[in-house]
Amino acid sequence: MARNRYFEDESFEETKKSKTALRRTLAFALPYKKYFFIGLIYALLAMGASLIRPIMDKELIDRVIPSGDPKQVVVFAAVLLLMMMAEVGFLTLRNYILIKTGHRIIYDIRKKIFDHLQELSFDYYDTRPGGKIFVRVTSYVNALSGLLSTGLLTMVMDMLQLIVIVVMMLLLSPRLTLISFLVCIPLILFVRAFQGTMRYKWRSMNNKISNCNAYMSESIMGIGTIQSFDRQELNKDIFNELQTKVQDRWVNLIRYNSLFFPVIDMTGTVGTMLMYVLGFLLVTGGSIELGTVVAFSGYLSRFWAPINNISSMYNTIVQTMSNAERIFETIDAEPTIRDKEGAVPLPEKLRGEVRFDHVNFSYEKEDREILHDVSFTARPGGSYALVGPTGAGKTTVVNLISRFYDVDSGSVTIDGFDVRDVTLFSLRERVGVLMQDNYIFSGTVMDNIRYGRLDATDEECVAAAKTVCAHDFIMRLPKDYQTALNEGGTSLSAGERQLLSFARMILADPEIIILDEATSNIDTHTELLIQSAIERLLAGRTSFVIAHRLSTIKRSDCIMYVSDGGIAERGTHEELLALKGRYYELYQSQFRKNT
Amino acid sequence: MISRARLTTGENDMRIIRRLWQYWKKYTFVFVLYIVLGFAVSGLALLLPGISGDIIDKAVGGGRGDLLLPLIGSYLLIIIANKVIEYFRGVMLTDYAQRTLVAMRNDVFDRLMYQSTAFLHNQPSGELMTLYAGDADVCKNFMITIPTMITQAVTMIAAIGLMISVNVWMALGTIVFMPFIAYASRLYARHMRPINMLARERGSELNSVVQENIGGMRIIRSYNREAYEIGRMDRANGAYRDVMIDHITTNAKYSMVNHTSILLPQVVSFIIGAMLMLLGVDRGGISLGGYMAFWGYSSYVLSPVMAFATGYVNSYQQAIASGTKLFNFIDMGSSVTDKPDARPIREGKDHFRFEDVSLSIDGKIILDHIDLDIPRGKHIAVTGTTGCGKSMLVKMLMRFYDPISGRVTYDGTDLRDLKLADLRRRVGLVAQEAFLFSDTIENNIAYFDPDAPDEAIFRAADIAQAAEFVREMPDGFKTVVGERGVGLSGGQRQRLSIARTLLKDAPLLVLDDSTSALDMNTERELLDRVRTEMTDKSVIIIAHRVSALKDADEILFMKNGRVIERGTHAELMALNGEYATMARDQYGAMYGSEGGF
Repeated sequence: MARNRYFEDESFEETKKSKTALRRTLAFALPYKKYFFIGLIYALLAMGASLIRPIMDKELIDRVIPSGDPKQVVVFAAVLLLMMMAEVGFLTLRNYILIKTGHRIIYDIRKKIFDHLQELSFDYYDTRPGGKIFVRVTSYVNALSGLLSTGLLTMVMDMLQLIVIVVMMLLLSPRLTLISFLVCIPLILFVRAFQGTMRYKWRSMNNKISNCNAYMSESIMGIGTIQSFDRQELNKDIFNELQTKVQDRWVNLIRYNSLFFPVIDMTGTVGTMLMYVLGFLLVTGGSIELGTVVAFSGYLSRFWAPINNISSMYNTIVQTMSNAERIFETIDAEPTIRDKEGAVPLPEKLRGEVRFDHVNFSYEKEDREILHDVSFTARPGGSYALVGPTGAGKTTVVNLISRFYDVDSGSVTIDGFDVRDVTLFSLRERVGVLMQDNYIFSGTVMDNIRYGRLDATDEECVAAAKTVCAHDFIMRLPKDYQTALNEGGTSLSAGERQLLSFARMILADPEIIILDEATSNIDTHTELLIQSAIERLLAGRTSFVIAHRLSTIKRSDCIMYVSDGGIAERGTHEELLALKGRYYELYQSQFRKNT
Repeated sequence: MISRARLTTGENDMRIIRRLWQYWKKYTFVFVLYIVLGFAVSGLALLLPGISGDIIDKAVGGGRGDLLLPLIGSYLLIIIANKVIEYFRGVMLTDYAQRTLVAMRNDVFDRLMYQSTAFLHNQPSGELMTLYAGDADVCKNFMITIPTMITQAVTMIAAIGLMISVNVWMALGTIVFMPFIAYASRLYARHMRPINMLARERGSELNSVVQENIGGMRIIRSYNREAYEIGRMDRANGAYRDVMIDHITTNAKYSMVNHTSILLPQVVSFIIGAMLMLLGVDRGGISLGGYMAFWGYSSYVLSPVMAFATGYVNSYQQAIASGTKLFNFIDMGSSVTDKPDARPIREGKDHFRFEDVSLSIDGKIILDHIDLDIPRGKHIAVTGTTGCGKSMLVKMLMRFYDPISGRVTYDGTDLRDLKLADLRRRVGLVAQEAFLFSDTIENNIAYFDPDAPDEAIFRAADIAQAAEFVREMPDGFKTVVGERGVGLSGGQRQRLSIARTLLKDAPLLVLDDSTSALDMNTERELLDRVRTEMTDKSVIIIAHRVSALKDADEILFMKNGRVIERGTHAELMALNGEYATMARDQYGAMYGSEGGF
């Protein structure tokens, strides 16, 4: 899939799944049906209490006032108060239980999409801006709350009411009912056509909002770059333009959407007028009484109230489903990297043999191949250095060992186990990667080190920090290990972040180790100091080291020179020098610069 | 988080309302028109019951077939007029409300653009997203309820007048209770306030967990921390759900109190009314018709009272909670801004100088009395221990940080007295972190000048040793790179980031450890090209490799915020201090038998 950018709308594939968004949303409500039922009972009780009001009014006029007894008035007032309080009380209880349940369902949906995001592979994140993933978990989920709390039940109540009224109308006069219903046919056609257009409009509007979010989110991440390139004014224009697109869609949508209720009201009015005309004809023809027409017009006005409510709910559903579709789109995204059925964990005791067998790989199917027919065997406990020009595929090689991506053809095996046949958990537990991109989480220094092994004691964390010479700088921080770091760790220097990530990895104690430019921002002195620690760490474990400093590389058991999608040269430092090939050239360049 | 001069609750509320109104001020006519049209709509609606009464009584019932069509016609006309007005009124308000939303969001963005990075980095990214996505929306929604509030308030006052005109005693039965209702809703407001604040905070925390998970996804996968992150999210998600449930629970409790406080006056009025009816009209009592009319008016009083006491109070409290965060952010000055009399830079000699500069952040000393002279054309190299303050030093040239003592000058003028934008144009900084935007490679390189000709882009890429690999990519310079440069290797990102800065063509180029991920050959070629292209410009290179440092006019070796050694490569080697040790270590690691792995 091509990469999506902030100003590009996300495509939407109209599949069968998108049509079932409502059903799937409601499926989340199903476990709570008990609460909806209780809510329904409260709603009925409240309705019952409100229906008694007119009867009481009649009672007051017919009996209480004529009786002339003040005592009766007071008793009556007390009953009235009770009835009204009962109505209010049941309504409050209904809202309480429904809204509470709504929040629980929202929690469940959010959990579902978030949990699924944890399963999705790198490629999902590679192909779209983070801001567009963000909105799906946050505002899109929140948007469903109205529907999932009071919305559903109100709709059920309205339907019940509608049925009762229709029955009453039919009993009263089938002919008048029929003519009133005639106008419902164009109404249904209108609502259907309207819904199609509105669904499209909401989708398009959400796309524009999503673009703004992506731009905002990226601007937060890249603010340093933006300011140093003095792009503030230009970016404000871009942001304003993105927002203007939202504004335009919004106004267009509202102009259209606002037609909805007037049209329904007008239809209702026309229906009522038609009924009057027919009523007039029937009354003058003598086939029905005037009283029937009056009573019928009373029901007719009540007939349109639930229709209005249901239509309004329908409109809300169309709107929220444009969010739900996106949520389910994410939930339905298949992780490209996942445990296959019957995947086994790697054995307890690993020898640590890593083998590439005719591996071909490209990041995107139509892209150029990054690795072409790569084969090598790393013997257990050996240390392997990957060198070569940037972009040659060194990082790709190590990404395949941890199975962050799958090979296009060929295989990667560890102790003879294809990485695709073992559980991801056991694989990543045994293979430790120190990446170029060393992310620091918000939390204390201690929390960040402990991320490597969650059950590690404070002492173990400190010991790990000492091993990589991070202890000194940590002790200089305002609250040493308890210093709070911000997201991304920007209060630390890049070298300090690398040291922290290193400590994290030491603590995790993996059996196969990958160091991808692990010490590039660390000064030579510190690097030398941590070298003995690294050596101890690597002893007896298979390791892959990507580095550009030859000093870091020289003592590996085997150096692989990666270039042009393959391993051009391999051997020990001495062997490669003797080869007088590209490694030799690289070595010479370093030599020349240092004399 | 954001500290402000301590305001009382009331003062703060007033500030928020004033700030919100500023967005609407130029649309006052919309507000007024909306309200006026609102009365027109209600007025038209009031005509309808009379006409439909006539249709039944006169036309259908009275057998006046000739009246039927005119009556129906006028009924339809009034409805159409009513709906048309209603339609335009609604569209108008939503349209302008959205404009104010755009304005608020633009202000958040503006502040983001100009706020000091030091401050912004301390904000969880979820918080900034909450300001933009959540808070602005809450404020907008509150503002559009105001016209309705005004309409309802006017209706309420009119209805009270009518009630009094029917019967003073009955009206008093209702009016006496008003202070109690006001008191009950005050109590309600006081209880909802902290809950709304908390709900807003928890929403922001939830957003931060999501943001952080997207950002740290690679680390999470490689450490198998999915379950741990799910646990973290469950807590944030659960905390948010719980505060929302708390919200509805408190709401429900007060709803009972508020409703009761409204029911009581109704019952009292009822008793008075019933007693007056018993009395009979001739003895100063009221008729059944009067009694019914009274109840009709009282519903016009009590339903707005109820709306004010519950719904409006709540949305007001939400608007205050969100507005406080929003305007604290928007109205907060940046610690790094132009002075009012800031001097522009036109033609300068581009002579930068650090004069006894010290910097400390959060009580930690970062730089300790630094002196450094950078006349135009000088090439300087800086190296030193991890965390020694090298990056901070160069960031001060762009005023990402200001010194706490001493000063940094440009042509003898303190940087703080210059126009920030002009200053930043004189410095081309390649930051340590090669941040790329999700856009084409071409647009990333031309970030400073989107109109830059292709040749300039190619040239910059060429000097930065990026042209070759870019041309090999499927779409060449039109290849889209993911957010943060996803899909590129660290070295490729660094080279694009250097190309981007080269295109800026600033008189001072700063490379902050930005060749660390390059192989030695590429680094050498790149630096050689840069040096030859930049002979008339100043260059500061921060690096750890001696090979990248040694050709500079002056080399600084830093440790713990101080420059401990300075001089040319030869001088420093002769000094036989830390620099020489470092050089020997690197050299020895390669050639000697000791150290290195």
